[in-house]
Amino acid sequence: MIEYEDKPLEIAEIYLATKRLLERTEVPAIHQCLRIAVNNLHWALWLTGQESDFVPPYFSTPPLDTERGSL
Amino acid sequence: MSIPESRYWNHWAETLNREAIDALHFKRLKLLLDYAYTRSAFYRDYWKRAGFHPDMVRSLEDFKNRVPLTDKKDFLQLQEDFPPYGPTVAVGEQDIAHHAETSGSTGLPLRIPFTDYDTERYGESWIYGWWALGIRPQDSFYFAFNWGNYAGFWSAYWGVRRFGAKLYSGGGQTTEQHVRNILRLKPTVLISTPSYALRILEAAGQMGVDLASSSLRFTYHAGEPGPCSLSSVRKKLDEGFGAISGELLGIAEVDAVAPGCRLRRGVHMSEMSNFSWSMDPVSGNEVGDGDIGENVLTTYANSAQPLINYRTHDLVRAFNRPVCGCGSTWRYLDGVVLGRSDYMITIKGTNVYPAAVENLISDVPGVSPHFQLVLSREGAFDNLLIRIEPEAHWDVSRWQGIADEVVQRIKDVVGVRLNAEIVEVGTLPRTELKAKRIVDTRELEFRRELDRSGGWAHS
Repeated sequence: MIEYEDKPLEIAEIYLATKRLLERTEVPAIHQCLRIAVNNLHWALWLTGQESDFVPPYFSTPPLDTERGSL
Repeated sequence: MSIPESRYWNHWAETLNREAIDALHFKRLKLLLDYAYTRSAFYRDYWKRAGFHPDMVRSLEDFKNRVPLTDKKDFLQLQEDFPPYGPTVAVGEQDIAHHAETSGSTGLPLRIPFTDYDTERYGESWIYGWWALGIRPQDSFYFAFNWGNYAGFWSAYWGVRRFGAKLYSGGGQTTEQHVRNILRLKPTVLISTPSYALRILEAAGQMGVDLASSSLRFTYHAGEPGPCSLSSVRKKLDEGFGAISGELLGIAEVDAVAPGCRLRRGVHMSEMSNFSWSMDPVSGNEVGDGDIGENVLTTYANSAQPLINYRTHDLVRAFNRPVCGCGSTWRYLDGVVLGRSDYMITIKGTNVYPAAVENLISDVPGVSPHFQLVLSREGAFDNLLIRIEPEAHWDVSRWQGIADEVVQRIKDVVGVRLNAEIVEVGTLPRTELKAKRIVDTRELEFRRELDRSGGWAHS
């Protein structure tokens, strides 16, 4: 458990808060900082059995209109 | 702030009981099945044609029995038909952060895409093995290999970065330069293939350098059978470097799948980053703990190109409840990889994997590292003769006892009685690694692919 300003924060809370910040930021440099942080926080959730999805939500989807090529 | 000291890199995860690990796997496999179905054209099409849908998986048993198997050749064909990756990927091009390839030694190289997140997860698998052996972030790593497109050692780099240790790259250097660099830079951990580590020792000897008194405290190896596979290799490495050697089993397109065991008689699967089970390669049925079967893998570490119920063709003797005694509860592969399911002969009606026989012989008392398995064809039948040089200090009167013990051990484990003969010390060819110990004298038409190693170097 981590404390910030005397308030305990679980990894899941930090993950969700960081993810929200990532969605809002318009600064490329900060975007990358936050993306790397979200990756790592998702992994921390995984390593403690707390994940609720396979990967963070920002990964793009390949085109699925053909069953042949995607890239 | 320094990393806290602990017996385990991740105590909670590495000591979960089997029921808890399996519950986690089931939850994660369900997430992965849905992920692949919604994102990968390959899986969606393949599963539809096979009459499978992720909703059909309601237990781990369902996953093993109902999810269609995949194989490297399927991915190779799709990539060849629709380059670069075809419909196998599950993310858009903008999210592919690293492209690696297999060596292509058995045909076309397999292209392996990774997202940035995949590289973090893949790299972390190494750390479990390093930590168990006693390596810490205060250590410094020397990489004695060229980088290329080879996923295996890129993942070691990702692991070191994640670990927080110092790294010295020896890329593009000669063997003699590696020796000089080790003396000059004073790293504490050497990373290389086992055979190349032995070459470094040989070169050092020719240079008059004793690396046993160097700064190295650990050596860690992948790509070929190493110190957790073969006691003879472990002994040579430990003594030559005056260090503790370790081994990781990796499969380039999958993960650093099994990062070691501190007791070094096998390796543990990295159960936070993959799920695996053992399958009879002939019947397709699951085999029990301790029985030899093909390791079938599903990785959590490659979200760019998911590999689900993926046939590795590696034959393993796996224990879901480990018997090694090191304390880790993660699935244990005794002796690492024992052979390849795509290289099998039938003797007296019994399927025999020469590489598995090879591993069984290695630990019989009195057997030197110099022995041969001679495959021949007699009429319509395959035959396997074992030629053994005894350890030089064993008296002639005990030689027959060695042969008898070899025959009995194979009969007990494999279920077939083979012939073994003892030959004079010094008569068999000298090789550094056991892959050359199998001598196939059969006509080409009777041979299957000879590719005994599932490791990175041969994938």
